[in-house]
Amino acid sequence: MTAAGVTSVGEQAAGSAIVQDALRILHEAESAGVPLRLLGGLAVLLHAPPEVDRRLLREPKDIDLMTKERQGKEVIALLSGLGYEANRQFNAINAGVRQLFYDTRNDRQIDVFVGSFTMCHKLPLAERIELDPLTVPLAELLLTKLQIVKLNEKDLRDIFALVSGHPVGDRDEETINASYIASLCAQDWGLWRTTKMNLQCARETLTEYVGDPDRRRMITDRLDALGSTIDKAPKSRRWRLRDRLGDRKRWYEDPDEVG
Amino acid sequence: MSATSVQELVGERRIFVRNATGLVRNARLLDVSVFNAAGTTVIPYATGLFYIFTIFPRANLLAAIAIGGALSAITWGCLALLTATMPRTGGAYIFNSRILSPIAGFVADWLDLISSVLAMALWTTWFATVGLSSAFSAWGALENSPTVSNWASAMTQHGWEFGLGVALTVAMFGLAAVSLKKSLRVQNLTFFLSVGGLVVGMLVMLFTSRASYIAHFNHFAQPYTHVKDSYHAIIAEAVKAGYTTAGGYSASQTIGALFVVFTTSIWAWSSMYVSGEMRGARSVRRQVIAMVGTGTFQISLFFLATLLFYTTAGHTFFVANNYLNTVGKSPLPSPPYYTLLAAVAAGSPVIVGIILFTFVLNIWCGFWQLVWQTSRQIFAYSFDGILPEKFAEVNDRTHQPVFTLAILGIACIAMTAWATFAVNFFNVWAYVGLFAFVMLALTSISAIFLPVRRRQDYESSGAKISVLGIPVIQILGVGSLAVSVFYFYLAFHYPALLGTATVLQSIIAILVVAASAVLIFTVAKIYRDRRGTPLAYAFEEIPPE
Repeated sequence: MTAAGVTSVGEQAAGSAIVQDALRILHEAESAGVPLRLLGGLAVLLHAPPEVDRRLLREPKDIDLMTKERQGKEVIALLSGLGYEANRQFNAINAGVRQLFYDTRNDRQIDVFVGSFTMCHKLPLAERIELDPLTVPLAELLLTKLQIVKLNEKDLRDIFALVSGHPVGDRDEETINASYIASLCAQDWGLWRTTKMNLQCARETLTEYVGDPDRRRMITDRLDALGSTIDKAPKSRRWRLRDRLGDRKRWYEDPDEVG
Repeated sequence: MSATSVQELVGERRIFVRNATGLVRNARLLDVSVFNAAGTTVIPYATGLFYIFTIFPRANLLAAIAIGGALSAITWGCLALLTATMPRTGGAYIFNSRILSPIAGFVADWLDLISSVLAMALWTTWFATVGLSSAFSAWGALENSPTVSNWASAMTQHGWEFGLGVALTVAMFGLAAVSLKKSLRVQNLTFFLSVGGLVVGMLVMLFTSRASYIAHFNHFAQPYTHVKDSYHAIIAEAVKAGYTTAGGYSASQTIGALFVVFTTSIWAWSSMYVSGEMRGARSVRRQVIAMVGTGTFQISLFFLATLLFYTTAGHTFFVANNYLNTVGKSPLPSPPYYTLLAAVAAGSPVIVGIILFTFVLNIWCGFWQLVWQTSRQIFAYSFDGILPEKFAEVNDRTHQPVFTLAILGIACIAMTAWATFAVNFFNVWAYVGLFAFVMLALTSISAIFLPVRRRQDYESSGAKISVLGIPVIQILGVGSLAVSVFYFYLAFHYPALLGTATVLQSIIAILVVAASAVLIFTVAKIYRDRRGTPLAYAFEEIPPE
């Protein structure tokens, strides 16, 4: 990402209404001192460098955001002030962890994760939220996709877009921090299980999404490097105990669809 | 590494379709199942048995439990399907107001809300009288400790009964205001510990012969009865006081006892009110497990526990003991709840302690069931605009409806005062059942009309199951309505079930509460219409999930 926070593809995409809306929200949040970052398809799009195959990119329908714990009230005030309609009942019941808003003019939904990201697995996305000015860090962004037990087409595209556009290493910025992903997987057997399963799935389905052999090789190498880092990370005692049970016990949550 | 290789799993992998963002809700299937059983397991067995034998000493309780359980299962099944169709915070209120009529839905649910607040008062007063007093008196008698026995006597005084009830209310609502997850953890802990205590009591009875039991009991009771064979002396004393064993079981009394089984055990549908917070609430399978599964579990446990106590302690002795206690002539220092009778046979002080004090823990989870349910009912009324928005506000730090919980806590304390100082126990229990069954009757009618009045919701749900072309939800709705009507027939046919209230007074009580609901609804309607946000808009659609 450039100093302005938007990559070349992101700059091109910045013309689209949804990206403009998202950037306006982030700008207002920064002015109000509310830590708010993008995740999901929009974050992938904004991070995509020029060399990424355009067919892997998509224009998302909705805006997904992440904020820190106990920022729910501030986010409600911010988004309501910007004209988004809150789902009052949903927000009252789930205010501690999730909020829903609607952009009725554009028929769009805004989903806000508060404190942590809990889907098939729980990810501490708020911990390093300030590393990137616009989105959650790349490692976390990739993990939000790799933690999904029932991957769909869009999830796979996002995984390939992220991996083809960014090297895998042991730092952040425009690199996927494999060490951080490995450290989370070393604590949580279930997350490890799903992540490894999805890395394998990505390798197997890659040919359906990426035609260029050189690019396929590069993506495979990066997926392998990530898998290898995850394997090498020393596992916690809890992880080892859980490993003994294996798949006999379900290792993930099955989220309900909302909105 | 693990049993299944990654390769194996990928081999079966498909690419899935997902239409919206996911959400992992707070309440697991285990949480809602425990929630459904929390108010119907353990202590209700003690109070239920006491209640039944007071009014129907010749009832065949085992038959009543089996028949009552089977009939209750119709209602559990009906509500499980209805909840899977519309899993929303507010349960029956949402079903009835959206399927039948907004005002009818509110009136019936308001009756259920008042029923629940009354039931809270039962639980808070039971903390001292049924829980601590019976535990201390049994413990004091078994350990021969006058100090502990004195504690037991103190607990039955109104001041302690009310004071401990208030303390319990403050602790309960305080925790509920802090965290739902913590409340659910404590719910599960107190439930499993109390059921564990019951199972220990059942095992004690299972491994004790009748002769051994009589010997244990005679040893325990001799200081109070001053005779060697206290076991048979208690039966003789009960006969002298009017209890008769002649004629064996009475079919009429067994049918009457069904009222008590319903009032004790039918509540396994309570999770319909919190289904907006349940994971996978649209799944018929999960709803059936949470309601029918839980109901079957608790009624089976009730049946087994009763069977074991009959077999080991003897049916005649068991009933005679309860009878003497009811007419105030029991020589024993403690009510003859199953806890005392099991503790007598236990032998070891540790086992006695487990049986007696895990029983007290059940008060917590039984009371909590009502707290979570009622707070969500009020939430739903507020979201629709019937009650002020303030009732739907959640605290910024805890994300719990602190204002609503505070109001409910105050109402609970007021009801506790009423139940302690001013009213007969049987009256309260009868009103709890009567008010709630109005809601159940209306909800059964909603189930019958669901496929007609909300065809699209029905057809897109997992509850769209038919037998011979007739929707199962309609069959269960008719059955559940019949159960509700039968309940009112029993209440009015056996006036003793209403305590000191008459049939007319009971009907007036229902009408007064219903009228208060009509008044609230009308005021809200006028207010909303004047503000230009008509109440009717809220009922045009089902609230979002």
